[in-house]
Amino acid sequence: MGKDSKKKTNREKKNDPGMAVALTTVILFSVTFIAMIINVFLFQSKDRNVVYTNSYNHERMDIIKNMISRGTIYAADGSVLARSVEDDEGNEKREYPYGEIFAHPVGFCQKGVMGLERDMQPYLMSTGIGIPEQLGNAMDDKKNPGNDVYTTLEPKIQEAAFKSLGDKKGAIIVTEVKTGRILAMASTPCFDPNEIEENWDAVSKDAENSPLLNRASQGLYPPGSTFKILTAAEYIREHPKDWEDYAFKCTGKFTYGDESVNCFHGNIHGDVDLRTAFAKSCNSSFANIGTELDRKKFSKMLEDMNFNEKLPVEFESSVSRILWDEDMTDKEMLQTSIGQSITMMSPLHLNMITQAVANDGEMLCPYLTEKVEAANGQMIASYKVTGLGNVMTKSEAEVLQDLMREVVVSGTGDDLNGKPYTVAGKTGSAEISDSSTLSHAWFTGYAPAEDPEVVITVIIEKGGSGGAVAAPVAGEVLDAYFD
Amino acid sequence: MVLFLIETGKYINIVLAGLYCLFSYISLGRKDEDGRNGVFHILEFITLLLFISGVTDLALAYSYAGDEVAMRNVILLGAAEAAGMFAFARLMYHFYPEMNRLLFADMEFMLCIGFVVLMRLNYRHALRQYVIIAAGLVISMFIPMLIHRLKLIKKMGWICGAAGGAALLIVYIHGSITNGAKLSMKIFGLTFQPSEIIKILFAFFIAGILYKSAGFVKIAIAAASASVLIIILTISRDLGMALIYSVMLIAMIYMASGRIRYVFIGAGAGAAAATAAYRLFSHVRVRFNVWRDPWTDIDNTGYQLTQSLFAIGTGNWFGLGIGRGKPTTIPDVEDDFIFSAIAEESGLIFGIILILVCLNLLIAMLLMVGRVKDRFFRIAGMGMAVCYGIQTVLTIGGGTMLIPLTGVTLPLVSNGGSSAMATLLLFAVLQGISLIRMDEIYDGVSAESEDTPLNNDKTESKKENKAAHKKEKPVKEKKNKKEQGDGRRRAGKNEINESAQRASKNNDAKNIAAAGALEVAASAAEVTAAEEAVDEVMEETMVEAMGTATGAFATSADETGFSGDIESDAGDPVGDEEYDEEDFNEEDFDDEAAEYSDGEDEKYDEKDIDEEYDDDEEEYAEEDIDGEDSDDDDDEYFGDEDEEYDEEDIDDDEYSDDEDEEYAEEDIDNDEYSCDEDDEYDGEDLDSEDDIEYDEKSATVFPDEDYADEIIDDDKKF
Repeated sequence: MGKDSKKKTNREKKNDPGMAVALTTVILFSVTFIAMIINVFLFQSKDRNVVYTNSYNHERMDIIKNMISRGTIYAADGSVLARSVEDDEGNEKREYPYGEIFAHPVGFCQKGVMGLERDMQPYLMSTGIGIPEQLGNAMDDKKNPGNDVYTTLEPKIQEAAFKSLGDKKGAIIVTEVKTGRILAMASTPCFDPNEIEENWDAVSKDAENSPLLNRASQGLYPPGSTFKILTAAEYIREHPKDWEDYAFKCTGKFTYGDESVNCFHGNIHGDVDLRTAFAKSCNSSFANIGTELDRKKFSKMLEDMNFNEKLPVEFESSVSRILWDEDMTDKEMLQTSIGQSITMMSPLHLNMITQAVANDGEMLCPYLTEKVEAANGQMIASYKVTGLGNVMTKSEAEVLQDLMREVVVSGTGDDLNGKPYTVAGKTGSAEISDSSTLSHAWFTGYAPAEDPEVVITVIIEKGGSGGAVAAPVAGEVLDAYFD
Repeated sequence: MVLFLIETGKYINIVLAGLYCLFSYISLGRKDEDGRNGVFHILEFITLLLFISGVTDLALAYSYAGDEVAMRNVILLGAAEAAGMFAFARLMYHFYPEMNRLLFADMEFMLCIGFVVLMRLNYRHALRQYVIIAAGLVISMFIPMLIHRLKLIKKMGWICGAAGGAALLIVYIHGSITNGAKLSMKIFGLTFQPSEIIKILFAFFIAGILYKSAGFVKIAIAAASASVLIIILTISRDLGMALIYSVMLIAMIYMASGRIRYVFIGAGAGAAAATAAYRLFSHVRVRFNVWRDPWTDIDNTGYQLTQSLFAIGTGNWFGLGIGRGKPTTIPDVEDDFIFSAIAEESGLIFGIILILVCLNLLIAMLLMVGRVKDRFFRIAGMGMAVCYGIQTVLTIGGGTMLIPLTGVTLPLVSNGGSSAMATLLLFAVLQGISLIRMDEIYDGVSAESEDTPLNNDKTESKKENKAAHKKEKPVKEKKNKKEQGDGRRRAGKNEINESAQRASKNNDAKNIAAAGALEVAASAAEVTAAEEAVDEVMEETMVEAMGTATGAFATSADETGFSGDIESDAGDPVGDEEYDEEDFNEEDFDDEAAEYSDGEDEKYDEKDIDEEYDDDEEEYAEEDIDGEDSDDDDDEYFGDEDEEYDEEDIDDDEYSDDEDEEYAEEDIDNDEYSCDEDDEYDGEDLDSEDDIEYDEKSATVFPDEDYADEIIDDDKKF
């Protein structure tokens, strides 16, 4: 009977491989086909922005325009920032009730797209209403309404920011400390989106003023003394116990090797500790600190702070540049420590770093859109607070809060002292390569100092000193916020 | 109101396609064609509705846009297409009621989608495509029959390969250049892309090399000769086709050898070849870089792919509506980016459903091919099924940026005469293979069948027979009937061996054998009354018969120095052709015994027998030995290469100690479960076929293991 078992195993072995091969092939192909489906599914769910905004797709967008009536953009208080209206001939036209005040964050959609009109186009130009409602509209030969976008922008603060900039070139960005919501984002020179078509040539070809540029997120400026926040942060990180023992005698000039650094306007600050050096914005002292820093660790910190990479925001922003590595020359190192050299930052980026200090070290991603709703009120998308991680410890942040408060109490930002609310911050006067003109004026700070609610960053191009020019502008905006 | 209808049409299309997809997968679960019959009608009906809906949507869209001429054209051509498809379907169903219905329904579905999309993209091309497809369908009506009948193709592998190679070379030398590649040439004013059609020859060519054995040498020969074709394609810069051929080759080697390691080796070689192509060809580099990032050079190299992505993205989930999008902004949209056009206007949900139906079609092909026992057609069918699959992956994957673009068309849907013709022929060949598969099933199921598979009306009678078979509910009776049949067959086999010695004419042999078979059948019928006795008697009869037969074989083999594994030959997948032919004749003989023959059938039989079965046994034996000789090296390779088969041989050797017993056992298996008389090694593999096909349905009817064991026991007693 041994033969029987033998025969059985024999049979098993002799099982025809044809079906097995076919099934294996079926599995291989099924995996491939499912990969195709997942790939195209992900593309459709995630990468729609490029489809809706790329100018090479304008022919299809024209078709969409005939099918969908572009959705409305609302401010945080419910007022309309952009809406579609029909003119007498039944043509759809875009209307911006606030004119140029919200020009940059909201953008426009004629002659190309910009701002939220661009970033939210996939929502604005698609409809979330139910299929029966869509069919009902088709029955009446009506367009389907696009989805509505609700922003975080506060008209009161935005107006104040826009007004305070006046005819100066510059930008202001105001965000909430605990959430990262952008309350105001103003940039001058500006344009009126209602008349963008008529003025297109003048606006788009104005290279000197570049009014289309959103300076708050896309402008890049040398950070100047505001960068000392980071230099100080690194010093505190390396000297957590004895940073208060730092002492330096400022002679108005610091020389290291063949290179030297001057204090602003040749001021001589005398004997300073870290607090005084920060408050008075003593270049010599910070250049000295820069020579003592661990270059590797500082590089790491700068990396954590999103230098040299795209900021994780959902709207267009420029990449801040910095050079800091172990092979840098003495000159580069001294200049970088005080925010000069090739270092360039966007006001948005500086605002994020300030926000992290005010928020005890946790950086949050700034955002402009609160939610998207279909015309029938159905929620399409909502945005939440997105943490970007703790870029510094709570104790480090507390020391920096202390230093920044001192700037307003007794240092370069004392213009903001004596307001009904307390402010902490840092001024900056960034020198431009051609020294014949005034420096860029910076102020970045938050209020109230004890329990931070709001972060504000101001840049005034070629405005002069940060304390004298930028700080008062920030004050006007903060007045509006605390009004 | 028109807008409402257009908008509603979008959703109706999606629902219909979704239903189709659902039912096509349900149908996939049905193994037998009868089970598929009901679903098949549903599928066909949905396809018709979908086609009407699509054409209506398009006509409405033109009407909405105010283009009355286009609207009229669409309605007329649509009606012509629907009528053509309907007529074709009826004809096919009439001539080939046994075809693989799911395969056919899926083909109709794809064709209908292709018709609508092409009409929308380019009316003139759609018209031309309609004519080509109509011609292709007419031709393809004859293909299944030819494939089914002309098993001669097995011997024509090298002719196929040489013809294909020559045609490709001619194109390389004289072909016209399109998009930097020499793909096509003009014959009688018609542009023709031979590499599409040669895919089918290529499958036959490789199958011809591999079907007898898939030892190392054979695989090396197949790979080397395939490389010649692939290299010609490569130097013609038809790299997409070279890739398709390569994948087909790997798949066929995998099917022939049953070893997945060849797939890995092939994948490795493919990766090396891809790297080489990247270095050698600038257009490969361009396509690769575009795949990595189509956006930076959107003006130029990235334009095509980004437009494809725009089309899919703008179409969104539900599409812009047929006739309302802008698919023509994609260069070559009718050929390489038809999927994007479909997704743009019918929506991505529809597109995903289409991918799933493509997969369903591919699975239907592969399962059908996997069940075929005939190694030649199994390998060739595998190549063709994989050809369809890889083409779909390359087109859809390329257009959706999953893989780099290769410039391959979506079978049955894309524009392109050669492609459409080649795909229709490919489907027709697969239908032919499915008919072979059906033969195998019936030969296996109805061993007692009084029917011949070579009859002209075989399909009809088979149906009847099948129906009759189904009605046989009482298990016992069925078993007896089966035994009768088995006995008849065995006796017949015995007879034919003897008669071969006695008679010099085949007809004589057949007549005598038929008479013998009838006698046995009659005696078996008598025995039926005494149910208890039946088994023993039958077994004795057949064991005796087999013993005689084996003795005769062994003697003749001994004489020529081959102490001979007759059995192992039978069981050896290397496939001794002569043995196979004996089987084949046995089948013929059965047919004769059943007294079921007409003129054509007889002619065919005669031809076969004249050709392959010589008049007297000695010659037969010699041939046998020659066959053994010629396959000797293959056997050796099998010995080295193939453990499985090697073991099998050893086992068989062991068994042959007791030759009679062993032979009986072999033959019991062989005849009892004989499903494929043509197959080289079905003697050993029948069980697996039974396992797959019938065991679930009628385990009690064919208690193969037990029954066989019983016989062995009795044999021992005997």
